[in-house]
Amino acid sequence: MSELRLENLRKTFGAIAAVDDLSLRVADGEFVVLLGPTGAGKTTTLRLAAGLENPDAGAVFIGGREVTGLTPAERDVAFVFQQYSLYPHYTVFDNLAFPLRAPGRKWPEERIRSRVEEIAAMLDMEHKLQNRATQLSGGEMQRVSIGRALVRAPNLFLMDEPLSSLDAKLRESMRVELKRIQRDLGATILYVTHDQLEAMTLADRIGILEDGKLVQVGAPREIYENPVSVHAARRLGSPPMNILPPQALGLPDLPPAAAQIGIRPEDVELGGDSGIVARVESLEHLGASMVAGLGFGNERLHVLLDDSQRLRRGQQITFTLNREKIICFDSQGRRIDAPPAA
Amino acid sequence: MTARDRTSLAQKAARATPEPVARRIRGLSDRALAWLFISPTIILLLAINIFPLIWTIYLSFTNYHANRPNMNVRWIGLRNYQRILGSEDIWGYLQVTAHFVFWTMVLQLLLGFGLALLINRNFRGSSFWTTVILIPMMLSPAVVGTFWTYLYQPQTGIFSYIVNAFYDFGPLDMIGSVKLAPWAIVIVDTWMWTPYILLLSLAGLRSIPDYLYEAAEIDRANAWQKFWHITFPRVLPFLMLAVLFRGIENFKMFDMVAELTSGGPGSTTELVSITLKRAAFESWKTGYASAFAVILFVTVFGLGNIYVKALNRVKR
Repeated sequence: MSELRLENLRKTFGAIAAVDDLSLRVADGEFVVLLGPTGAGKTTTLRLAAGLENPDAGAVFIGGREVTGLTPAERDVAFVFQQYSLYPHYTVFDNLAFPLRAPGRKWPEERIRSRVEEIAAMLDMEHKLQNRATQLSGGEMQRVSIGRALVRAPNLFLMDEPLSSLDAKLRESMRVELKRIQRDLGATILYVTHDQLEAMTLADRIGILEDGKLVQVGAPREIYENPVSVHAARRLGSPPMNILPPQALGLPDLPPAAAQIGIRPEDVELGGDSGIVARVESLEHLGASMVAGLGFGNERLHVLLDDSQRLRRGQQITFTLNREKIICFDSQGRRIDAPPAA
Repeated sequence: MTARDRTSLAQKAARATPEPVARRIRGLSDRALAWLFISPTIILLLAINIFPLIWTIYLSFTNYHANRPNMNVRWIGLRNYQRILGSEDIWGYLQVTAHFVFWTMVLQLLLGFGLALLINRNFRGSSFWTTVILIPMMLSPAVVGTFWTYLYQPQTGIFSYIVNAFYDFGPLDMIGSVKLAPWAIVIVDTWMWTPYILLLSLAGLRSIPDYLYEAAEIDRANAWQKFWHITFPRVLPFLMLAVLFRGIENFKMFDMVAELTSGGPGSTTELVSITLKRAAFESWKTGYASAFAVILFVTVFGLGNIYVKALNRVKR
């Protein structure tokens, strides 16, 4: 068992609470992604779990054992850093073997060799084992970093935006590879990112962080469809959910407290006679789909359409919102549940 | 920047330039203009570096004496070189120099790097202590040489007093003793230039990102492994650079030692620069001294090049 449990963690730097009363459970074999903007406390949470920082309050449990206050080495976790933390003057082989040669482990060289080769094969790096770390491309370096985490089969993997320094194409292939490796090993992973696509594709569950607080935890689909706040709603989905003032839309029977309403770009329909009149202000073609930016009054709205629609910039058009999909938020940005049908 | 941006920028610059200057400059090609700009540097370089070097090489094959301008200057081929390389005295001075360079480098590396490791812990007042440690480096070498003659006084000097506080050696005649004098100059140079190694080491240490140590910690590396696998290899190029600079400087060390011991007692601290100065400006054997200077130059240049090759390999 290698579940991770964080209980009421709190960490302040000066006057700023980087992590504020955060509790989270990552089940054995689960892939949990923490998603939030820069400064939300994602990395600090990860570092608290790893033991690279000590919490001001709260406790960390790994595999049911309390590890608060223990060093990273004693926790037996692996950490993949945002920067490739390789020993530049060593070969790929020596980099991968380093954790196995650490004192207290003392594996025989032969066993190290077979283990390193096994991991290198998994990462598709067998032919590069004798290369120096500095001769690798960025993607290869990050694969070696991940390999260094994998090589000693630790309890828990902590990953701090490991793909953010790679280019888009590489990021995509590494994402697939990472998910495959996690499934093959049944690894428990807590992963930090600000990229919603990574979160959506990798996570079993996503935790949305805002100002050091965990605002929502759930399966990607669940958060996508039922966000608890404007913040959580706009974190997932691209383009993000439209947030509009209800009076601009003239919607009847909304709850009186509704200060903002949210609607996903794919839940807006164009055409029809009864809709709101708007002007097409921008068009972005994404291949199979396209995003239209509509302007009406002082508001803007993004609509996701399939590419068969023929639109011109500047064109007048009407739109309607899918009433079922409208989500209401109060003036604090918190979700209001729709009123019972009157 | 695209080509068009560049031309329009050039046009704008041309328009902004005052008319007479522009007219004068526009008559010149880019190439001519480039030569115009670098010619002062080249002329200076030729006049004060290249020409003297070539002239020295020429003089080294003659019996020229600078204090006898009316004497016939004769071409004597390699005789100066034969005399220098065949002289046991010269080999003795080279040994003295080698002893000085070797031990100053060893001691300064150990002390400088060690102090850098301490200072790098960023304790309270660490920047104050850094400044204090740097003071000797800022003094003039001749001044340092002179006042250390007082510190080294066997009866009244503080050096002998401090050493005797630890162990009763009796009065230490650092400068007068044949045994101690070679170490006296090593100590002063170390006192003066350890801060330099400290500075470069500190630059190296500060360039190591924290996450490397954190990654190593996660990998269960102990303090010694972190030092050996991260700190040392990362600082090594800086240390090697420091040794290159200081090694060359100390190979041609003159002022501090000339003030402190003037090469004595006997010739136990006579570094090659002191020999060279005596041959050139006391015996006025200009041709002979030129040959010696050429030999020293080739030695430093050759060793320096080998060293730089090694340095580049370490950097890779």
